[in-house]
Amino acid sequence: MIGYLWFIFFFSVSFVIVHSMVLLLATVEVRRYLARGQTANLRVTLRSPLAPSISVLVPAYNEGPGIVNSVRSLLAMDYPDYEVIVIDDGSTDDTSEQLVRAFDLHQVHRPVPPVLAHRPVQAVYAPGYQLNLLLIRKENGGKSDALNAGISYSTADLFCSMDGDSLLEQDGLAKTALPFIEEPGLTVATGGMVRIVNGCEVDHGRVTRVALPRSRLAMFQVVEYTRAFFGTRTGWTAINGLMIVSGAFGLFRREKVIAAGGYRTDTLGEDLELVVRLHRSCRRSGRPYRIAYVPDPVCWTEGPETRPYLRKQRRRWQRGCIEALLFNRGMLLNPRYRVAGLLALPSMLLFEVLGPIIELSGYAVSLWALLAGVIGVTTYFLFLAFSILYGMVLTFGSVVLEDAVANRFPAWEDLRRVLLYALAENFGYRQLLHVWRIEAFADVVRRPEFEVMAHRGFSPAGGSPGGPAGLPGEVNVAGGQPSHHALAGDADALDRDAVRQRRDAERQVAERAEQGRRQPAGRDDVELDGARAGLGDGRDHRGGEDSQVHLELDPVRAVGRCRHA
Amino acid sequence: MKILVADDSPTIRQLVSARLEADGYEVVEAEDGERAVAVARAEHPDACVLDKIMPKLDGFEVVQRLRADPRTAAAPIVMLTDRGGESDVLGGLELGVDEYMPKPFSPQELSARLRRTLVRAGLL
Amino acid sequence: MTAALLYTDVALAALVAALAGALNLVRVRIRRRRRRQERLGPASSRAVARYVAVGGELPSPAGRAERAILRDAALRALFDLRGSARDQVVSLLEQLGFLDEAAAALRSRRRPVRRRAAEMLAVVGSPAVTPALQAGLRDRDPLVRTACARTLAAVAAEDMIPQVVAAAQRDIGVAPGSAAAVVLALGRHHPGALRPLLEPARPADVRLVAATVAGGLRLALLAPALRACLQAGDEIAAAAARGLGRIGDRESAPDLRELAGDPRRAPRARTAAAAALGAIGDREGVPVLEPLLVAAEWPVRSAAAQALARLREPGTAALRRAVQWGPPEAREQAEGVLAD
Repeated sequence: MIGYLWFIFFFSVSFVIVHSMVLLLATVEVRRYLARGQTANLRVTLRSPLAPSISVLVPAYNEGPGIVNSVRSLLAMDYPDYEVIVIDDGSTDDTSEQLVRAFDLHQVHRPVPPVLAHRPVQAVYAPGYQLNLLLIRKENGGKSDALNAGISYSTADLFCSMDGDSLLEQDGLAKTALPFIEEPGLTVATGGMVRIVNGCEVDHGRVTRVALPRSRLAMFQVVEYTRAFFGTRTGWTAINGLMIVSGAFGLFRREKVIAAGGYRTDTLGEDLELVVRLHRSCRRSGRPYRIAYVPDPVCWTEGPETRPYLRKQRRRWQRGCIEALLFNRGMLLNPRYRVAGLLALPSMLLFEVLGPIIELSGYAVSLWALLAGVIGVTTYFLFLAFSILYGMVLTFGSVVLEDAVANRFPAWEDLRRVLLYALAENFGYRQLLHVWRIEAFADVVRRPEFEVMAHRGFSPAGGSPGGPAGLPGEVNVAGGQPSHHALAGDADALDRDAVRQRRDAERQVAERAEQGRRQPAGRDDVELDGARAGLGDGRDHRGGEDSQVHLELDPVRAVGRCRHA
Repeated sequence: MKILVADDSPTIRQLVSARLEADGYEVVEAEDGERAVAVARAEHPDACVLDKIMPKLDGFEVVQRLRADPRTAAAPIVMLTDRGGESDVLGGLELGVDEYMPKPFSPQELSARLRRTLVRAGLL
Repeated sequence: MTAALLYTDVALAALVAALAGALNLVRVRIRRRRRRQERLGPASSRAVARYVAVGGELPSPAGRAERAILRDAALRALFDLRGSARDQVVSLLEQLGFLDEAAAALRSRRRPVRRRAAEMLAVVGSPAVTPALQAGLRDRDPLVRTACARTLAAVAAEDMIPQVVAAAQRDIGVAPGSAAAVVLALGRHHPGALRPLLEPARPADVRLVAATVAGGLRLALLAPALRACLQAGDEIAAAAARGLGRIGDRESAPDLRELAGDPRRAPRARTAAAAALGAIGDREGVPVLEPLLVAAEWPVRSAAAQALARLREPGTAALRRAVQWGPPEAREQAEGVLAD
């Protein structure tokens, strides 16, 4: 017991050392970013043949109601040479029909490029007049599979992976493409800051006014995201140890991703796993490379506002994290992979994967130590205060960095709220997340979502020429692997579904509120609930079709439960 | 003579408006595609200057809607375009854009082209 | 142990308080700046617009803050303007002393200040401060050097161009993107100056950028130099082939045919060459393109089919032959392009 107490102590010390270092590095990186002052050069180069072409890949599963508006706002981005490829991943609603009608698309004949394996494509549509848009309609296979299809059909230098419900800033592509222009031979992937959109005013796929969410759960996530993006990802970028480019928005050099084998379809953490694998394949190729995080807000995403959804999201993330480590365990502590193998992955293992267990057990052990008189009351509380204060230092430091780049919290009161929540998260929220993350271990072992669908067929498109040949035995990617991913997509889609419904509901409310431009959408809880109840109906239909839909996630009930709690 | 100027950049709107007002036109402004269609329907401008890339509705879509509505179908359209690609121009001409103005542009030249299209349309 | 913890806690608490205080200050300043922008911004940009479009009177900003807002409004307008309207904005910036300020800032000891000044001068592109820019070519910071070179490429007299070319070459290793922007500016203003950069003796990265720029800007006078690049490495050859296709250089057709048909070259280069043959409209290329319909690499097959379709009659005849008698992979491609 005493030994474990010491272990906890050293764990805390190493936590403090690593995170302080990363925050310091983040400061260096932000200074470097700000000192560059290259925006004018960027604008000139972006209008030139030197700008790399980009395919924006939009995987869509049952996004019928919102898809036209999202695509429309994607088509109006500030970038010269890009196309939008929507991949309708076997939607059961009218996602494709909506697009065909809105953009006057008609079917074209395109042979399937044998680049990455994916489930069969049923039809490809292109617009009649010049719009840089392509619609690929394929059998359902999950987000990874849809992205692999999109990568295959893309002909651009870079591709942008995003969620169907991410909102991009108009200059988001330009800002994240900047490292590819500055260091074309080096940059392999870039990500930008993802922000929580809850509470902001959104008009036609654009964030028109930034505000903090009302929901307490979403507020905690704002604090979390700030810390994760500014405190952590920026810091790791400084030493080229960035291990995650968010699935909500990221830019990748297409040929490097193809060389690494594309997205894995048998994990829920495909975004994280791909970046880890890119580190591996780039390091193996022996050429210098860089995976960069651009500390500038470029993308907005909806954070879950109810506990069941948040729990599901976090379990999925954590499971993805564990799986990414499992699949790439050969990199762990392998000096060949430098920062990635020696620092980034081990700290991911220690703090992200094992951290929750160690921390929760730490509470128990220290409580025991207190009661048994091994440590004094004063020491105990001082240590508690230490952990809380240190967490606040990390948060504050990140907020300072964020302010330095872009002040996006406009009002005074808001700052106080951020700080209040930075304190409050230590009492309950953190621990709750830890519990959920520990639950993910069970999912990794049981892999419930994959077993069900294991018998489904697979696309005839064979192995990939640029595929994983260079990585014998270690990674088993795209080529010829039996499919057990269909439901992975469903789990993903379920969350997206929920978010979409929420947004629909908010849109309805906003429309009802009429000149509600002043009033942020989604504030009026009673009306919102009404709108949700109205939508619940359509959802039950879907539940009937796919028996595997988790009924616990019914949004109406979920809202109710949360309110009572 | 009333002209609709639709562009999401206030700088460009101001540059165009300042020139057109000095040339004796009355100017109504819109900051996105949807507003452009709404303003055009409400104000019946004699001609439109549209940006190609606008939020909410793409410039081409605005053209389609204006052409489809008998109240606004006749007004000549000058389109400001960023990409200036050949395909963009061809697509626009097919939809009924009368004149192109690639960015970066000169307000004086824009005014001259607008005048020419108005003359061609028999409005001046 | 307890004492150490106590001290650490106190230190951390002090740190939290300090950070909160700093944040507070920053927020207040940001808010003040935003208010000022909201109050003065629209009027400033209107003043610029009037001055530019109608030749109204020169705005006279009062105080530093107002000057900065006016300057930003003018710089924003610069991006969208050309011709005499653009010159008007430049003259506004010059008359209000912004250019001299930037030239002075180029000598600052602080690197960010120098970078910002060099960038602003590059955006403005006025010959008024040439001596300062020339001095900037010798700056310690590659981003400042390349920004100055970019400006000089646009405004300097012919005799200074070799210096600019040298600057672009020197910095392509340390600041590739910024050095490429210099090559781009050279291509726009002194296309002939790119010729030496395309020569085989140059480093590969320089040649690649020069070939991309020459092709992207369709600089026909560089077509012979691009043709020579077809013999270079695959990436450069691909860029050169794309460029020759864009230029529509018929004389390069034999070389392109050779490249497209050479199985030893990388698919990337052969694909670009096949596409270029289609873009040029080289009907004699059909005998080369037709066998490519069964090439081992998918991109080559696809590019060949599309090129054949662009060649009209002799090309489509070849595609029809492939549909009738060809192996499945050729049929797939040919059917695709014929159907569209």
